[in-house]
Amino acid sequence: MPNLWLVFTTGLLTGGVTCVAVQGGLLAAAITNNQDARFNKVLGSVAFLLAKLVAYTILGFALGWAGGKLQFSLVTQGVLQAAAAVYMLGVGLALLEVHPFFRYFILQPPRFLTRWMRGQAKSGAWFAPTVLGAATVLIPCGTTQAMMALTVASGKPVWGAAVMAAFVAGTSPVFLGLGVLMAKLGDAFKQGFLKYAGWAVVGMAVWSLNTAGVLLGSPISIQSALAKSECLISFCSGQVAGMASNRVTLEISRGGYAVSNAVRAGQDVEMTVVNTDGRGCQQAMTIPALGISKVVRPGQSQEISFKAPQKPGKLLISCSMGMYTGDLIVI
Amino acid sequence: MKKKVYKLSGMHCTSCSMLIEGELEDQLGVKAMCNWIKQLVEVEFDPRAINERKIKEIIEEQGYRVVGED
Repeated sequence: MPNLWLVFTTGLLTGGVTCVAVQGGLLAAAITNNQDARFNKVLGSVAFLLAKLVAYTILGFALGWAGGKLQFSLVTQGVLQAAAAVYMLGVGLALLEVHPFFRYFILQPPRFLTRWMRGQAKSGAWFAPTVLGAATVLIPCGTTQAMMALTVASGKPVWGAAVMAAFVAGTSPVFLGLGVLMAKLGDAFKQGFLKYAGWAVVGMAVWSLNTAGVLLGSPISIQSALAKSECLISFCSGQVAGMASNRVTLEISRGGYAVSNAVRAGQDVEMTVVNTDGRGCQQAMTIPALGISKVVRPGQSQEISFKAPQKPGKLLISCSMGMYTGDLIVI
Repeated sequence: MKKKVYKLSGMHCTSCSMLIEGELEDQLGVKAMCNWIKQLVEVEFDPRAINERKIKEIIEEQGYRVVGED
């Protein structure tokens, strides 16, 4: 999963170009249309942003939960990641204006929604900014739609909520007066921000594609390429496994996965999975090729038994998000 | 009512089409349908209430350019 800083900075820059274009106008209308002298404009903006943050956090949680429901096996998890990756790639290439075809990836919200929201903005009601803030989930811009795909693919409600909260938090400064600065920055900066957002979304797409590959048991991944290139530079001989054995220990740690021994092709294997201090997603350990998936909490251990494949080679071990990987060597 | 379809440039996301529609429909007697994919805006308006020059002005004030008619 891309880290939340990347998501936040994407929101920070994108919000200044795409989100504020529409939502800023709605907020401004909702504030200026309130003729009541007691109405505080700053509080109106804050209410808008808080409502937007809460609404998108709930949306992210729901999308992550829904994604989790679709992921009843490693294969479906990998397929969902791949689908999200293709969609995000399309959005990224649309933002980079690579070809008009990619515009199809960014969905245009239905007109009745945007008209309803403009009506709300002009109502001058006290609660209009709050309602509008929450209703912005109905008119997501292109980059927001890419973030939503990311949360579905994560299949994790809490992570989904964190991604949407980080993105919306990133878009917030622009609404608090910085929008005026954004308007003054002129086109050159806006184009630059759009390019950043486009490349950030493409980067997230590539990462999701990598995760999909890992979950679908692909031997080729960013991690394996990095491991190989590290070995090239440091002349290491790769992961040196102990003597082949039918009893092996897989240690989960902060660094990822380490296997004590190689296993013999076609043999029954007893694996003890021990989590010493792995607190991240490496707790959710998978061996995609064997369809094995276990969650082992720090300080705990679990026994797994399986038959080693007939063919010698490397079996990929990965966390459920494709971030941490390791190899089980079959000889 | 009169109907015109303008070709636009400078749009980069669906937010742009929402913005253009919003600004145009804030004018009396105007109905606008902006298509982000084709980068067109179809404007239905009452010539007695607003003229084409004003419509183009509103679009260009938002940072987009009218590059032709369809």
